[in-house]
Amino acid sequence: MTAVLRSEWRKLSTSPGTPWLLLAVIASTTGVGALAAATVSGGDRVKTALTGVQLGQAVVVILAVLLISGEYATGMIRVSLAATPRRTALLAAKAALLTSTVAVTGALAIGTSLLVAHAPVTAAALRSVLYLCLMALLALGASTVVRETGASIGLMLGLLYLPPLLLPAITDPAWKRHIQHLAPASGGLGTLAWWALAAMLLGAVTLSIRDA
Amino acid sequence: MRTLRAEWTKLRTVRGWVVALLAAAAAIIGLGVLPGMQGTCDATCRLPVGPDGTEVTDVLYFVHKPLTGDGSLTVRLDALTGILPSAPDQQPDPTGGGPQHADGDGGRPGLVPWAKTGILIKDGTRSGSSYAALMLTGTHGVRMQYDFTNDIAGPAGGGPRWLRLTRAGGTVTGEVSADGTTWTKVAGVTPSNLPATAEIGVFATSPQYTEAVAGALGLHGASGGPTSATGAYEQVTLTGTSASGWRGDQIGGGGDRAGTSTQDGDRITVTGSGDIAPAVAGPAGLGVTITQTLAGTFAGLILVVVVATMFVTAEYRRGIMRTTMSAQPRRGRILAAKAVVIGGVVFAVGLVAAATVVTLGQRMLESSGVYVHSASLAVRLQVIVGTAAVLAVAAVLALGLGAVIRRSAAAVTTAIVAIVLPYLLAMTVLPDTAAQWMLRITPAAALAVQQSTPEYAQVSNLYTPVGGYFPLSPLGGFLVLCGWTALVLAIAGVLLRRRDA
Repeated sequence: MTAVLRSEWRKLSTSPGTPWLLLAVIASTTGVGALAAATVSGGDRVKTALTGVQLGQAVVVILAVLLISGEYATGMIRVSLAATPRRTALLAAKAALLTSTVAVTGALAIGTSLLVAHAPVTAAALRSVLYLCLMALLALGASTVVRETGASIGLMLGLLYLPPLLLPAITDPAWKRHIQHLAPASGGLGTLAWWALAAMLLGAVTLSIRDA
Repeated sequence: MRTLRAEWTKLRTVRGWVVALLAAAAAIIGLGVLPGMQGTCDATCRLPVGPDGTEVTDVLYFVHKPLTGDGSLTVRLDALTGILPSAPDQQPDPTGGGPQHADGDGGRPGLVPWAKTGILIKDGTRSGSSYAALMLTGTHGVRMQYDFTNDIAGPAGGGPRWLRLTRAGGTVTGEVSADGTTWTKVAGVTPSNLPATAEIGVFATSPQYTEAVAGALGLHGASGGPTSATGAYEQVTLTGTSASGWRGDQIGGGGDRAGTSTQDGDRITVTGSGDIAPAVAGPAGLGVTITQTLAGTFAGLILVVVVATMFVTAEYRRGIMRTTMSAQPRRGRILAAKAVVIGGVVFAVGLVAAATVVTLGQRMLESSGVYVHSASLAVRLQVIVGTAAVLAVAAVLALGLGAVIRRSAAAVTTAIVAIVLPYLLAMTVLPDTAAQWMLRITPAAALAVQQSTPEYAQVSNLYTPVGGYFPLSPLGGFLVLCGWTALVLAIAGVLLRRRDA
């Protein structure tokens, strides 16, 4: 397992896009947060400062999707699977690395956002970091199933942004509540954890039974 | 031409793309038809229609006399007072939508901005009939309004004042005065359909109180309730041929909130609730517009953007771009051909989807009892063709981004984030001014093509994008998207020529 982790870490850390994406997570989260904090007066300061997570999560999704779909695009996946015949171990290593990377980057991004907006660090900050990690896992699982970069990104951004756009069109309060509670972005960490778990399990199953 | 056919062949032979485009159409139609909105309107539930065919609200209390031929009515307006709902409901609707009525009895004194009282001359007491009126409003001063959609501001100032409305032939002139001797003309207007004998008198009405509340997820809901306005008049003097005796009538609806009036010699006090103005859809109004049926646009948009981006990034990834460029060395033409093919196909798909969902969706909403504001053929075409055009141009924008960035992940994200996120942020977390700017300068401005009812300055409503009201005109918003697309295409054209494939 150490060998798999090390090889995955080598891939992630040497791929030229990674540092830019991590920088983009911090820049977009902090930038939008600072902009929102500057324009919105009153209300929940912490909540306003964390507006940037709305954009930052999109970059986290790219990072997570590329981690696996990038390998399918270049054919690298066949080499990876030849080197690690236990396919779930490969996925687990990717998940572990992704989670820790996103946790560190997310903590930096959210810490900076709160600092810029002069908002206190509360439990909401910790929850936001956890949110980004779970979102990354959901994206990784989904991308393992879909395999195509563009389609995975479209699917993930649809999951993120569509439910709140559809909500106003639905007037039946029961349906509204269901959608709000079941959508990964608005249902709370518990719901998101179930989404991430389901996506990762489905990803593990499809990775194991399909040809690469 | 050969390049065009080559690109068309590429697009139609990738199964995933064809499926995705069909799914886009299905999403637009499905999401427009599915949400089971339930209402209580049956076939008899229709708004009155004004002289020019606009749907109107015409609910007020009118103390009137028939006036044959020319004449004038002069009154001294002693006071305009009103009652607001007792306590605005502090508990926001947990579902984030729908107006809430705080129907407490009593209420607190106060006026809504468009509470109205003044002199009215009207073609009978039928709802929706032609009229001209000179009035004092809650906070918008003296106004001269006629035939529902027309609104002219009078001189500023408040307090006790004199109002006079004079009819001469088809023209009705409104004048105001501070002392009853020096008169200032507000306007002379020509209502479309005043008969020889029209009803003239004083009226009062007051629209529903509406205020935005932040619901769950940051989505705006609305809370409010009915209000009333009272006008107290003295020295009511009518010249011209008329019958004797003032008659008080509730015009339109009313129900348990019907107005009242008292008379004592030449003093009249009139209290009313409602509005005499164009009808609007949204929290302060009744029903929805055909825009409601296009809720699935964004779902379709995301699918279309993914296909359009991959239409070029997939070629880079597979190395087909090198073959394409050997076959057509003039690279600008490749980009042009791709843009024409993806734009044309998406436009056709979008047109079918939008036309279906607007027609079918409206019928389904009506059959489940939701009132849908009527839209003229021109507006209908604007919404349908506009939606298809927005999807097509957004696809070309995504194609350009794909050609500039060459990587699916970054290109798809940029395209979706550029169009969808500004709209989402404008709708949810951003304050009003920031939201309006978002919908002026970002590609999301193009959604203005879906606005199907105009915004009226003289009607208080929450004119938000959620309710289908946009800061730019349909054409203006669409041009913003076109501008972005032209910019991205130009950059893509230059880069395509300069870079190795």
